[in-house]
Amino acid sequence: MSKRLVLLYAAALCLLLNFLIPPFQNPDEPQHFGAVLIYALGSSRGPEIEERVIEQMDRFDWWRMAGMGRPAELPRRFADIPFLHFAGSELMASQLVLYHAAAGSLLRLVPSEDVLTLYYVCRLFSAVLFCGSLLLLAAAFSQVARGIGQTAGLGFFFILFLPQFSVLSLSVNPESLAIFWGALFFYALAARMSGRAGRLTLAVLPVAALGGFLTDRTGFFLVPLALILPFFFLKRGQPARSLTLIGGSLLVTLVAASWAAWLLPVQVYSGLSAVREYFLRGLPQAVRLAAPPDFAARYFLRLLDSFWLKFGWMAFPAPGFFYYVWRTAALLSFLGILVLAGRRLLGFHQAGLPEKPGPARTGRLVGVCAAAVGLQLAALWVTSLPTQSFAQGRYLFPVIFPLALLFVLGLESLGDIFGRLTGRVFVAAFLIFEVIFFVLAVWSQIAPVFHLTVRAPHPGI
Amino acid sequence: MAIRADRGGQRRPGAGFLRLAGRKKKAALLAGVPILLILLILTFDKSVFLFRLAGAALRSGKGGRDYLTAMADCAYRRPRLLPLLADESGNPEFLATWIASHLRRGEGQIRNKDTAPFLERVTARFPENILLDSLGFYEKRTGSRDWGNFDPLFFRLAGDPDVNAVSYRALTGAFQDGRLQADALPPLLSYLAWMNNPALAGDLRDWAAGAGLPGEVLAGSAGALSSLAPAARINPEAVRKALSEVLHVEAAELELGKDMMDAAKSFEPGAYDEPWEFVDMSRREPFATGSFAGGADAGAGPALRVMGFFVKNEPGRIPCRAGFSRKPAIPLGAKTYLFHFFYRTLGAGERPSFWLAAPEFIPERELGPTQGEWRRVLYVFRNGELGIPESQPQLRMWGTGTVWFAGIGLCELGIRALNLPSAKEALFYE
Repeated sequence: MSKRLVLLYAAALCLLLNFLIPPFQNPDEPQHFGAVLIYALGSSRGPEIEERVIEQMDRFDWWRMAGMGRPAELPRRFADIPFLHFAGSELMASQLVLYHAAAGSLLRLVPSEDVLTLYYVCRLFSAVLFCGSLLLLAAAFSQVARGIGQTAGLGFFFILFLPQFSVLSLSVNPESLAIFWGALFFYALAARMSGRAGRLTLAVLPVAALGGFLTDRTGFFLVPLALILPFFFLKRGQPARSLTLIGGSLLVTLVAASWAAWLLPVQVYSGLSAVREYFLRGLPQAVRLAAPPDFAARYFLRLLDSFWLKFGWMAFPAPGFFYYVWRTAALLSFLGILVLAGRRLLGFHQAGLPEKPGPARTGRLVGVCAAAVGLQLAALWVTSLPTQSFAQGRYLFPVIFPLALLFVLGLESLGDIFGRLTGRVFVAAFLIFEVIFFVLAVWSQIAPVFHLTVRAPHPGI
Repeated sequence: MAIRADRGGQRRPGAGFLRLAGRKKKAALLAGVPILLILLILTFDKSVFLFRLAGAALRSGKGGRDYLTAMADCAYRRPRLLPLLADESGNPEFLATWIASHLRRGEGQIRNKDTAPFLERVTARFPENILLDSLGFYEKRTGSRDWGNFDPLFFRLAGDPDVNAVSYRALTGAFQDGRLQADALPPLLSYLAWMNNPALAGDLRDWAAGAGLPGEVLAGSAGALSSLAPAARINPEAVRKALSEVLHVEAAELELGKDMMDAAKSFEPGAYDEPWEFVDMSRREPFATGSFAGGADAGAGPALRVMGFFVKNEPGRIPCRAGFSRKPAIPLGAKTYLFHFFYRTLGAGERPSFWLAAPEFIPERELGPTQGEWRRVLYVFRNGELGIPESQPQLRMWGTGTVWFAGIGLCELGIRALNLPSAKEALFYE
């Protein structure tokens, strides 16, 4: 798929969704947009900003879409609105994440203080990040296709037509930037592991990890991954070269982190405080608390389903049939990954399974991808378990590259048990199903819910 | 998607900007190595800063000394952190370290556009601090102030030798222009000796002598401080003997239970003050304004010392006091108990007291001044009649002056004693 085609598709998709999805219909948008405005217009205008954002939410019938009645009198602060009360925009601005600062700086260039205009500029910023992320992911999968095989390269199409990923392309919240950092990180990783990139990747990896760390807690996993990554560069019979690479990589990471802390002390401090609040405090509880089985099951099903599609404020799902197919495919893919791991680690071919030799670097890339997904899942679990809250699938989008790669590799690996080309058929069949579902989701779900109903079919969240 | 062709003509999708070759590679190496070296040199202090910041941010106990000093150092290096540190703007340990960081590097002008909002919060929290005034923290001075109402930040800064130049200038200036009265000097010198800051104490004494302050102001400020608590009299036998004397019974008739507060440990250096927390009941609602300092005084025994510098009678407010509270409460049964300790006042005007439980169970007991002598208190109470479920003893002082407490113990008093007081509780001095 050419670069221009990817860009054209992404731009067209963003344009379409901009018309289809009303403002503030992605999770947590009002507070994050309010925080961006605080950066753009000044912290002294915090209360006024919230009031003006609420007016715009009212203009676009936010109450009905969010599953609540319009209040007789408009609230003035987010704190007065149910399920927005936990995080006002001033609180978010005090956390000083990179996305708010960057979008706020951009808005300062706009010669208008009209809230709706500024909101659409933020959407444009997210759209640019989305296009950039897609380009990086396309490039990364091109590397993968050449290194591992053409089927693995199809992982890009899994991302391209993943409905929830597309729906969030315009969301005004830090995830758009976190996804970009994730895409940059994994592009550099894929280029490095394919052997087609030079030592410059050593600089790109820690920079992307730092960017993710300073953007959102969904990007925190990049830091430990960047730290363990050099050890995946070890080469047999070349200890000096390997050590130089590892040492150089860690040195670059240290230099980048030191300068980031020096230049952005507030952001780094906020990020580190979030690590303490969300992970270090939650970890002992997560270890101590045995998860109730029903909670664990509901948690992972909700994570899986909202990764597939739950648009609006997690309020609007697709018909159940599509989720059953998706869950089945995810399960089969997971089994396929186990088969792949078994082939490599335990020698299943000796037990009669057909051997599928691949390039030596496949194992390493799969290992890194599994580590990335594992880190992110563990982080979400640690933060969710103590409060028994549910993580949303969108939190996995910064690891969309490893997830997509593992997904198609898993399907292919499982299919290959039954025949040489069966794996490819499995992947192709799923992608056709995904494209059909994507088109149906846009035209029979998203468009009707936001534009063809006078009352939300789902009255509550 | 960057797609390039290599020398062999093979297309390499995505290889793009991450690979250099040929001349470009050499040029990058030639330029990169010296740049990297310079960068590494320039990065050293940034890395130290990163580790300090990470250590502070990831620490779970935000009130700890290690956190506060690390955070103060980080905030000194990067003042942009200050807006995040709202809680720390009222913490003397943090502020003293932060101010000292400036002064150590000769930066007398701390107020600037980065620090001004933070300093507003600091001065609102500490409105009558001579040292902050000397540093120019109070931009607008309105109304009269009680400069002798020393606050915890003043005490922390005055005890810090790194700030001596500022302290000396501020204090001598305040004595000269009458903001501080001469009688505030002796307790201040006593405090400085306690805090191991003899340099400032010596300078102030020299200045006072040169300035012609009355001799009695300086007399006796140090000598009476060095009286050690009587550690030899704290063992159970000595307690039994003392009690037998005040009760007029044979020592053998008294059966003392195990010390529930481990009084013997109260004379072990480094451990005696662990269970005791200094509680300042002034400067906050509903207490009247006052200035107290308290803590362990290793030079006196060791013992616990509380100093009162300033009190203000304010109608409608509860008189202020300060002292020590035992951190873990001690459960009590329906038995007879002996609460005993040593105390000592520096002068004749102090009002020490002790408190064992809420007034509905037992009233707070005031103690007389000892004028420099250590005195043992033996307090017997029948909890079978009083019904105190648990006790968190407090030893404190009302008003100004200096009081020490040492060798604090609580134990059951055996029933073999034939001559126990008939009242529910009775106080004896040895």
